[in-house]
Parts: sequence; C-alpha cells; structure tokens
Amino acid sequence: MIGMDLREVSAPIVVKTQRRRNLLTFLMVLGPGLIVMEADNDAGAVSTYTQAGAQYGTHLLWVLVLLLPITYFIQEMVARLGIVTGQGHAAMIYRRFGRWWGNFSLVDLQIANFLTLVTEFAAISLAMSHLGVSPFIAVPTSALALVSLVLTGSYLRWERIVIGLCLLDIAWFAMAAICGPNWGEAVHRALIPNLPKGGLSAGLVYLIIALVGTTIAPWQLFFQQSCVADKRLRFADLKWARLDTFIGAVFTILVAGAMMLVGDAAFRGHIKFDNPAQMAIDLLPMAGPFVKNALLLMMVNAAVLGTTTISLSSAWAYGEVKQWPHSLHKSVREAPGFYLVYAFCVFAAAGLVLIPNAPLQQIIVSVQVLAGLMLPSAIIFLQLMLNDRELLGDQYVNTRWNNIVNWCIITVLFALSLILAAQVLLPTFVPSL
Amino acid sequence: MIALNNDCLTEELIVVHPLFDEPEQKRTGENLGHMAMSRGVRFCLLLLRAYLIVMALMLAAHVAMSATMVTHR
Repeated sequence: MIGMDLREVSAPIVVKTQRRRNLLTFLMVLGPGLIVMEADNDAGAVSTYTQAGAQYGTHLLWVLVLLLPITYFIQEMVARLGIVTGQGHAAMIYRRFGRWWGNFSLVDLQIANFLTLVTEFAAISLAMSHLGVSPFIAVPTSALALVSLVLTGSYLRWERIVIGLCLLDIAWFAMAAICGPNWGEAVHRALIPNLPKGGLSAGLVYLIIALVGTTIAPWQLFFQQSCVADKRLRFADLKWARLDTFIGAVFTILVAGAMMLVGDAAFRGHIKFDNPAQMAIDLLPMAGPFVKNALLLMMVNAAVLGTTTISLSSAWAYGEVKQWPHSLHKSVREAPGFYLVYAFCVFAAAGLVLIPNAPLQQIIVSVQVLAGLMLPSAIIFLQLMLNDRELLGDQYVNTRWNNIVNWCIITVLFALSLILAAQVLLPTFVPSL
Repeated sequence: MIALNNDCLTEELIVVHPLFDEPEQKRTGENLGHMAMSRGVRFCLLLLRAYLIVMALMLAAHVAMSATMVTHR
C-alpha cells in the first residue's frame, strides 16, 4: 500500500464496490511475490544475463520465456505453503523431516547465502569504483544502509522501500530501448526456441544452465515462505498472493530480457568484457552516458535488493529453527538474535570484500556449486510438503496436474544441477567453455 | 478480514490489512510430528541422498585434483 501511512493501513477501510475491495485487498497483499522475484535479478543475474546477450545476442531469450512458468509454479507452491502453515520453510523442514534434514538445509542455506552476499558486495564495490567512489566508502556505507533498512521495527516500511527499489528496475527497459535492438528479431527469438551458429556447444549448455540457476535460486523458497508468514497473509489472500507472484515473475523475466538486450548491444558492437561494469564503460561510445551511468547504478540496485532479501532469508530461517522471535514487526530489543544474524551476514560479507586479494573467483564457483546442491533438495522437500494431506488437508495439497508439472521441473533441475556441478568441479572431464 | 455490512440503503465492504487483522488458526503441523514415511516419501529421500553422495564425490575429486596440482607446482 504505497502512499498510505501506517495508521491509515492499520484502520479498516470501507469501500462501496466489489471491484474496489478486490483492488485494495490485492494492493495490501502485493509484496512478497514481487520482491522475491525481482530480488532474484541480483548482481549475479545482471552478470549472467548480460553475458548471455553479449555472447549469443538475442538467441537465448526463449530460455527466459520458458523459465517464466517454471519460476511461477515453484514460488506459487511456496506462497501456498506459507499461507496455510503460517510458518517458514526451514521451520517446516525441521518439523516434518526431522533434525538431520533440518540442519542440512539450514547450514547449506546459510553458507550459500553468505557466499552470494559476498558477490553482491563485490558488485557494489566494482560498480561504485567505476562511478568514482572508493570501495572503502561505498561498501561500508551500503552495508550500514542495508542494516538500517530493517531496523525500523516495521515490516510495511521495509516492504515499501524494497518495492520502490524493485520498480527502479524499469530503468533496464529504457537502457534496452536506447541500445536499439532489432525488436522484431528479439520477439521472434523469444517465442520460438532457436540456437546460435555453432549449435549446442559445451559453452552454450553451460550458459543455459547458468541462466536456469540464476533465475531459480534456493534462497527464494525460504524467503517467500517466511515473508508470507511474517506478513500474516490469510487463507482468503491466496488468490491475491498467486497474482502477486505471477506479476513478479512476469516483471522479473521482462527485466532479465532487457538485461540480455543490453548485452546484445555489446554482441553487435563486438565488445568483449569481464563484468557488467566493464561493459558499461565499453558501451559509452555506442549507447551514451545515460546507459553507462544507469547500468552501473542498476548493478548497485540489484546487489542491494539481493542483499536485503538474502540476508533476511538467512535471519528468518535461523530464527525459526532456533525458535527465537523472528519478525520485522519486532524491535531490536524484542528480536535481538534475528537482527544480529541479519547484521552479521551483511557486515561480514562487506568486510570480506574489502580484504585485498580476497579469493572472489573461488567464492563465485562455490556459490554455483552450493546453489546446485541446495536447489534440488529444497524443491524435493517443498514438493513432499505440498503433497502432505495430513498437514495441508485436501483443499491445499497439490493437484495431480501440479504434481506432473513439478516432477518434470524437479527432474530437469536435478539433471542441470549435476551437469553444472560436474562442469565447475571436474572441468577436465566435462568441459564448459 | 473482509466483512460485508448491509443496511437499508447501502452496501459497505470492509477491507483490513493482513497485518492488522484477527490472527487465523493455521495448520502449523505442531502436533503432527514427522511426516509419515510412505513408499513415495522414502523413495524421494533415497534419491536425494544418492544425489548428495554424487555431489560430495565430485567435490572430493575436485579437491583431490586441486591438491595434486598444488603439489606438482
């Protein structure tokens, strides 16, 4: 409910028509779905999508379109489970599968999240240094701002600010338009699966797997379920939560497509780059200063969005398992452990980036492997819980159609995760590039 | 929650933000204990264990190969 103050929202609102009631209820529910989807376009995603555009032009846009229903199906299940149980994902794994699986999920999540946070701060450091700001100023300042963001003791305040940051990603559409892609060709390639010249090479397979891994991340499952529980969404809100998730999925895929189109400008200009910040500089003569500056700022925005959501997924999961108070409604005094975990994640990751010669490349590789390890296991637990009639009752369990789609998705994700891990860990035997 | 108020002249619909609504009774599963180990659940967990073992073996091979490279340097 952007634009309303907290007192207005806390009081019941009287409306006269059904349409206004629906609109208002939807606006009140809107948030977790949009945020979880858009925050997934984090610094790593900016790098992967622009790289895909720079290497293969618009040839891989169809992969994004294919990922739209997949990401929606997975997150819809998460939202449903969150609304029906009122509990986070980590808490439910502990409760229904026991200590061993609970600890495995929690430890894996915390390590993968922490390493991802390091890459987010590395992106902030890189982008801000290209804008003329020293990393020793940019990184601590952003870490402090990110911790302050959650310390207000108000879920709504946090949600409004983060939705605002999500909407800033509209700038990607302007950047893509300025880069002047061939729109007809882009739409055609988005709708009809096609391969670039050279066919299905090892490098292309690696990039497609990286696109899937970037678009569907393990922390998203934990984040959205905890967020839905913290927002106290009601059974009647389920249809609006589904719409929120669907809008989030569409917006995210469109933004990801815009990132690929910006990368496509580098492809057309035969520009080679190591990271998106370098690409922004190299695109200056071709696309002008707006694209350069906006790209660097959007990199920072992506990293900020990623950091706040990933740190929150860690703090919520830890709080749920330890049975500490864990809510953004609570003040620091009421939930010290929850805020401490969040602040520790942010400051430790920021501190690591500032260490000279920190092994960032090894960290990026570890993130890919851990995400590969984590995603199939987290999705298996999700699928099993969504078939748990004892827990959810007949009304909220998966339908047969849900299960057919989900098992197909799970099978593909298992296979892709194994291939990705093999390419990263055993490059001699399974070449990637 | 959302309530419907009828008086003789107008229909009034009340909308309450989820954060400020009456708490609902959720299905937390607190008293259910662990999930019943049906054949399907057992098979899924077995598959997951096999997947994790393969991943661990790949990681071990990666560490062994990296260690060999460092030793040869």
